[in-house]
Amino acid sequence: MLFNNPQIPVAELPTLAEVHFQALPRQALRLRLIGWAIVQGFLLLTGISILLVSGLLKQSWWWWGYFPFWGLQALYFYWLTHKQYHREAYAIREKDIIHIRGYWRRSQLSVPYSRVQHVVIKQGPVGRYLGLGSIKIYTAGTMGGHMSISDIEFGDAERMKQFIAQKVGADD
Amino acid sequence: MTESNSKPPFYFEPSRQSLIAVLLILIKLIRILISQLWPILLIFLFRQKPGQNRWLVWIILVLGAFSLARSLLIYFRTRFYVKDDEFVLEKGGLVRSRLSIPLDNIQTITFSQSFLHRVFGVVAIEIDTSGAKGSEVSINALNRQKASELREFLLAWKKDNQALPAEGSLPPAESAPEKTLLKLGIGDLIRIGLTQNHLRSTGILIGLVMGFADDIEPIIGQSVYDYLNDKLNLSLDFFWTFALWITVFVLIISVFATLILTVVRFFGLRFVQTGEGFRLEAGLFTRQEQATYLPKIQFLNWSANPLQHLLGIYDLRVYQAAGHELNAKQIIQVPGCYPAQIDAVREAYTPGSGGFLWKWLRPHRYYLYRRLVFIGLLPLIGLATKTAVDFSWYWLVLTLLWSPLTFWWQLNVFHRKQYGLSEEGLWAQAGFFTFSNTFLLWQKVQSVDVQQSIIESRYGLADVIVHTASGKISISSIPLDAGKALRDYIMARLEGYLKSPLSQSNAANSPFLPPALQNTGDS
Repeated sequence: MLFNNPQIPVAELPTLAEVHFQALPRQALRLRLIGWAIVQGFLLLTGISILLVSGLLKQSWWWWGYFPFWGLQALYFYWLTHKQYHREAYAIREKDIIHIRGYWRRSQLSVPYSRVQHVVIKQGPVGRYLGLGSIKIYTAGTMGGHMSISDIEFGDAERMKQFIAQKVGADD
Repeated sequence: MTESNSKPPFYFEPSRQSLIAVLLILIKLIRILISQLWPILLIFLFRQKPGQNRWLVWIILVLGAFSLARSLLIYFRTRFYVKDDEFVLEKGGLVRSRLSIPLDNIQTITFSQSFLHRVFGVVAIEIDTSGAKGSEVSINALNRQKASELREFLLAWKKDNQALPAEGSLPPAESAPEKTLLKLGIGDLIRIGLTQNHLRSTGILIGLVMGFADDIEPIIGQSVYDYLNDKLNLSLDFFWTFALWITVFVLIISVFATLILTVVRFFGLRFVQTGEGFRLEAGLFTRQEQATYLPKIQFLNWSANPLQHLLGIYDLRVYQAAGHELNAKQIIQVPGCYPAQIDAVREAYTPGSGGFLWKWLRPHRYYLYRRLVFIGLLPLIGLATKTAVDFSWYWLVLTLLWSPLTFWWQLNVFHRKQYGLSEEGLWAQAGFFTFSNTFLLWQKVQSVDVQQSIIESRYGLADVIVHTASGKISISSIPLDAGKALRDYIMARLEGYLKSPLSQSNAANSPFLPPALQNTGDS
């Protein structure tokens, strides 16, 4: 056997209770709000251009109803982005990595290093400007079993990749 | 592998497929052409004017010649061999490609024989890998004996190089003699065919007819319903009045169709336990051989609908590691199993599983409430609105029956859902009409997700979702404490903090599961 360990009383098993979680950097919220602004701006422009192009202004006043609706959903997503940002956190431990996310539906995904297949880090244009990047950790599991942590400091992502690569290598 | 022969096995040299492959590729290409072009062909056949026939002949000739040239090209450019622990497939028609697969990544090897294959004594081989989509190998035709040699080599290689600590502590599989677990005769097949889920196949059949109706719409130039209305004087009222009779008629047809399909698909079924895993051979016209290797089995599922339950037979499904996405090839389906065969498979998957101690856990009542809202209440609102706006007796009856029926149904679903937890794995039971059992070893888990919806967090509940290489399994609406304890336990097993308790002398009287799990067991 690889590890020679006697049975540990259940109470001594590592639990998540005493884990100290790492929150996302402040910049991540900015990045997500930029994304929010782009999407909402696009939706607003779409509404305006429909009004202008089709000359609906004269006949169908109810097309104006688009804008309160737009405003409500924009507010909702603004609020949700904040809530989700404050909820999200991750922790890197000796043998596994944990990611907490979600507001309406909360999820705590744990992936042990012994199950990691490969790791991908990514950086988009805005992320590059803010110094942020994303890390995606793949297991052999099907969709949904992979871990994806977006908008962390790019340097951290690189270090995490190194660390996980070492861990995975050491297990073989 | 023993190298007693002076000549090295053929698979170390680049080899081509059997020459029959040319014919088979040609047939495949033509079949693709016809399946893409059949509406156009139909138009040519039915709306022909004098002089158009010649065009049709020319088009067919050109397409035929092109297909022949292409299949020859594909044949000569397809070569495969084993080199440096990799299986290499060079293929290409117009675009050439070279695919190398580490032997370690090979998951399953499937043989299939169509009628033509059997006439010429060749098999088609499909090799599935754990990689992404598109990284699977298919060889159109290879001499039966060569194919067996290749499969033996690949499976034996895996066995000899089984240095996979991640896959857990399986005992070395000594090359046991093959043991036939199940053999189905024609009587068994009829029994299996008659006990299939006919309501589902009726639905599929109706769906197919509707799909066909959509397909031929461009050809007859108007909607099929209008067509029937105009040409045959069948009004929609006719359909409603005789809907019941049509359903009964389709049901009878589907019983016969299922019977025939079952016989065709599972004719001469033989389920064999080999040293390395299992092999399933079946099929009347196209004979398929699926082989699996024990460590690649992720979890087992066996289920029975009420008819099957009466006869005491089960559908067994063996889920194997899939790559990017799950497809049917990674599931070995064995119909008509008796409990003895399921025990044998379970015993091979995890020795000693018969003696596991199970702690049974039920989902919280919230699980029932949620399903009642989504299945009982929300459709009811739609139905009531429909009835109020557009009154008809059908809708009224449906609206009145909906609530009691779904309540009765969901209550039964709820009462039958339970999760068995043991040190080694999970045994999930669920289903009212079709009662299904899923058996998973913790070792096979890839990652664990503890999820809570906003209402679940108010009740202090959580869903534990375990992801495996063959899909996910959800443990729904259990107490949050239990969910967390379960997650910690599984993670401890995967990370090597806990050794497999199978090796412990007597697990029976040691409290193996975390206290949070034990307390919640009796509800």
